[in-house]
Amino acid sequence: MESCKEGSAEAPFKHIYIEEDIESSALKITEHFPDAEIIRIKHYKDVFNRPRQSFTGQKASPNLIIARKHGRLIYEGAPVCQDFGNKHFYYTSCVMNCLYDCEYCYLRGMYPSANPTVFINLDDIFSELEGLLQEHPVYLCVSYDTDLMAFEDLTGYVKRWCEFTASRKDLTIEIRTKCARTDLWDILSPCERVIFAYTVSPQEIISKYEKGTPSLKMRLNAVKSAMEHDHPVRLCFDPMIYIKGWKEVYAGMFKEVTQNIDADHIKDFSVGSFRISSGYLKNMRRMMPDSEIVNFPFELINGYYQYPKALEEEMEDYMSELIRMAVPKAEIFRP
Amino acid sequence: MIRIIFQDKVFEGSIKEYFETEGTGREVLVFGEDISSDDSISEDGEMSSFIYLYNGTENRAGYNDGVYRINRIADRYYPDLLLKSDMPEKATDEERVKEIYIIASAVLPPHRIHILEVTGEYTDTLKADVAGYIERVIKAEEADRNNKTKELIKEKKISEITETAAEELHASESMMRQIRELVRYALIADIPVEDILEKMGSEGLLPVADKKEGKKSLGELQRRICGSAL
Repeated sequence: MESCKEGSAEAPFKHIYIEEDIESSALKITEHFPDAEIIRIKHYKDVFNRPRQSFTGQKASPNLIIARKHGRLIYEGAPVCQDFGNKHFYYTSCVMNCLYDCEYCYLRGMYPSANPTVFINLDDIFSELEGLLQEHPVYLCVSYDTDLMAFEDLTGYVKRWCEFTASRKDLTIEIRTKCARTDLWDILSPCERVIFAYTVSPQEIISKYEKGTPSLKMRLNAVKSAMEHDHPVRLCFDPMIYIKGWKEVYAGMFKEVTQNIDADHIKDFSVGSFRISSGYLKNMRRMMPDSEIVNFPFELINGYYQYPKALEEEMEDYMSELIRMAVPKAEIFRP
Repeated sequence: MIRIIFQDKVFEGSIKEYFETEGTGREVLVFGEDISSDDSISEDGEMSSFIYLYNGTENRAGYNDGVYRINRIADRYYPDLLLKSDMPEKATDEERVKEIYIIASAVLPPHRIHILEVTGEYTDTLKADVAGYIERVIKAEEADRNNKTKELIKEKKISEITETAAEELHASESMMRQIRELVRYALIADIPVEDILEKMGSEGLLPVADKKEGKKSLGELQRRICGSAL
């Protein structure tokens, strides 16, 4: 519903906003964009938090923000997120926003801007984490508000997280991704506490609602490659999206999964239907009045919108059953 | 509506001349230098684009004569440069630009505020560059306006269907909100809600005698719209 769609939109990352006191540290990122206009800023929030920004317009023409993050850097996991049986469940955001453009993504409702924002002070996050690790083991999701794998050429953060985690025995991390890169396995050493969690969706959903993301075939190829390189892999059928004929669509997807990868060796599975906090959904409905996904007549339960209970259970039961039939001993986590 | 404010009369004349000559027939409002309130930028909350064209007097060292898009104002304000353009860019510290940006950004999104600085002589080439930029702004705004018109038509249809159904269901306010949500989803998802309502009518499920019956029929409407599992 906004101008600046393809054709009239600027090329991605034509503008890079950099906090002026970290310019030299940002060189490794900016050198990837020799033609970009560098705009020095005092604080990333002067750009990121501008009122009335066009999320849709910025998705079509994203600019990059490079900044230093202050204050608290590690947060307790949100109720809608799965803890996979871990007592001390946290997440962190060393990058905000994503290179992909999924219509259902909660970031659309959460952030005032779609511009990817890279925080260069990863060491500060590591320091805060060291403090937590002194108290108890930590299960940390590092790729929730972004897709770190897709940013790896720019940031190198996946490699740094892998190295840091390997050297801290009480730390387990999850790197959630839709990225289909296979070349990274040659530079990432496998560690049983670094879990690569692939979001897997039916191709029908990918084509219609996950703009810019790799196809199902490419994702499964990446999963297969990760497993061949001994990386623990989690498959996330989450969020499941309700569409007409969803059973056939998800069954077809799962058939493709089992035909292409050795599902017996998947570490565990996540199954969850689309759910979102009420405030985010309200923002998304305002932003996308024509979206079939966000305008579904959800039920509001404890501040979160979700599919009506019967539908939610049928979708998640159905997916779980497909998994169990193929992998009887599968460990399946649900919200 | 595109609103253009000129710091110098010479700009006003050239733009008016261009649009009259080209016969675009587009609505371009031209204001003089002085804006004392945001009324000149947005009327009744109606979205518009805003262009400020001015003569640069500061921070000219290292810049050739030309027209520049301003990407930073006084180390604090940043127009969102989403519109494609080959125009060179620069920052400005000029106080009057800051004041105008603050007024504009109080009512407009940052991607609809365009600040253009003319450095040096305003030649015919530069006039054409400015006119070309304004054309792009107009096209983007026209596309938005078309979308908005479609949206209004859809909203009107949602309201019409909702009101009829609500009356037949003796709906309370909360039921009416539910009906509106169902109707909206059905129209977006290409579910023939009008046919569904008509069929419910032919089956004796509509209209109903009271609100209690209305709740039952609303549940049935939900089942028919939302699918298999309900």
